[in-house]
Amino acid sequence: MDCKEFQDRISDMFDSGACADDMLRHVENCDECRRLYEQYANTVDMLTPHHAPTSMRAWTRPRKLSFRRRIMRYAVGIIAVAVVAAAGVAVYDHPAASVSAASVQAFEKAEAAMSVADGFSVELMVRTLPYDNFSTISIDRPFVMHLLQSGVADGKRVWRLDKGNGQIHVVCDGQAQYRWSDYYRKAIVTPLSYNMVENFRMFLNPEELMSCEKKNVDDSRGDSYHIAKTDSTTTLTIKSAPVYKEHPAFSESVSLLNMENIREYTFDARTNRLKSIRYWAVTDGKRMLILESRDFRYVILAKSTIVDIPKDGHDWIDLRKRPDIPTERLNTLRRENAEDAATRIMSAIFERRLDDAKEALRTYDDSLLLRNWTGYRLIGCKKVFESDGYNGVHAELEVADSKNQTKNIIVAIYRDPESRIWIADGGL
Amino acid sequence: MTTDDKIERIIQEEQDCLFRLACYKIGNPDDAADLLQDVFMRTWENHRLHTAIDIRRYLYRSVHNACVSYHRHTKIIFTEITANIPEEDDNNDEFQEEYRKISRLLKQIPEEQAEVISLHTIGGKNFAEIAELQNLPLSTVKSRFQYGIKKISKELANNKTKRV
Repeated sequence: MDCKEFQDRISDMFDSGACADDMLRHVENCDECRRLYEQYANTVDMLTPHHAPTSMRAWTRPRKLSFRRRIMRYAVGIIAVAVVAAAGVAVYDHPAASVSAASVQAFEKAEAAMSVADGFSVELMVRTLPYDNFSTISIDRPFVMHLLQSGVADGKRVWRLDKGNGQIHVVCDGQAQYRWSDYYRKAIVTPLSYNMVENFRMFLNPEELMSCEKKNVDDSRGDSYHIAKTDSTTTLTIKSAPVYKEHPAFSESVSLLNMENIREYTFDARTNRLKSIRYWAVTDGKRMLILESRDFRYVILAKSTIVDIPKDGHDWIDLRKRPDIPTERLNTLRRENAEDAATRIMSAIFERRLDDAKEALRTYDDSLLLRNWTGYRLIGCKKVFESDGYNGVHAELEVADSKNQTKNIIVAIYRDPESRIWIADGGL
Repeated sequence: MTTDDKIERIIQEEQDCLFRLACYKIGNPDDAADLLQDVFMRTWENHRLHTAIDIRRYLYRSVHNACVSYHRHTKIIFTEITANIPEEDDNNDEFQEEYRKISRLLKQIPEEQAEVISLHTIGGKNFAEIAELQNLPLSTVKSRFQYGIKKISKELANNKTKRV
């Protein structure tokens, strides 16, 4: 297919089921046509309502009507009763027994619909920390925007997560994962098996999220379900059981442990695809929004849009390659317990001799660490503890700053399964 | 199936799509609901409608005409087209904001193109359905859609350049 033919038929790209493989291949390989398609897609999106009143029947509001309107409403009311009676009530609660069946069905349909999607993009507003932390979701934090984009290239799934205003970027090109920041020089490459995006893994794999929620219904965990339908949407609301049960979207988030949550999924009634997600944490009997999706779009994203990695301007550390550590030092590091490792790593930072912890700090930016901890000294390690959902440990350390004010800090470290040495993982 | 049964079924099938279209044509869901009920009444009273496609075409044409008539009696002020569409806020004005945005964009193109685009983006109809509703060849529907989107995209790009 040449550019002229593509441009003549570009409207097919916006018609459900009409888009041919040769058009997809062309848009993937031609920059000019891809830019044109993206420009048109943006315009179509701007012309597509995202806040439409859900349905005519749902739009009921008591108000004073004119005489003519009242007469008309009376006549139409009779008709409407007949129509609604014939079709069933549009917005309703299922009896308890059928709610779980309806919920399973909704998740099943969504899982199937999402798994065949060629790509999607969504903005997630999440209460979290602004830097490279994808595990914390906390009611105490402000919302941070995350743009998630996913697609398929060369038969492999590729995705991208951009956090904040260019603060953190994580990209998977189907062979490896890349993380960098606009503000740091150091950037890392990891194998696919490494979960770089922690809680966000589920949102980059919505079909997996749907599958997991379906399993939750099957497992009868004590969650309660509510289902509401309009002609255009199905909304499932899940209230977690009073006793906390681990959920994959929160599993890494210590701050949400022991807190009830409410999860709301809205599906498009026509396509069965996910239209929106909202999560609340319940605290002191009140619910607080902690996660909200905006602008779920099912679009074909070019590989070059997703896999756009700045290879220059960063010092890339490839974690797929094992560090070259002399045998004697390796044996010493392997013998360390968690408390000793945390003490050594933090002392090395405070005393500005990073060489003594270079294996544990491979992924950290040296200048940033030194700047963050200037003037600090270590008093001692108070305790080491584990927490649910994290496969490493946390070390609570007492430190003093340049004014001799003491405070406790918590750092996360984990034992690397391959080298079996402790690696710094958070809190720095 | 009697004609009354057909009308009942088609109203049931189409009313949400028609409601969305009316909402985004006139910007007021209350009035859109009233307007639609008037149209439904007229449809019930129209004894010349027999086939399903006649009924559908009549419904869509009537809603379009009713919206045009509504605008004749309501003064709406449209502002200049802009690429800087405001972000959604937390209050309940999202629909109004979106209505103004979509109206501004559709005002830039001929009515027949705007109608095809509205049926697709607001009504959720595919091109074949639009061709049937408007009694047009499929190729005409596609070209109206394409020309309309092209014009709006160009206006947006020009406007963005001016602002830069």
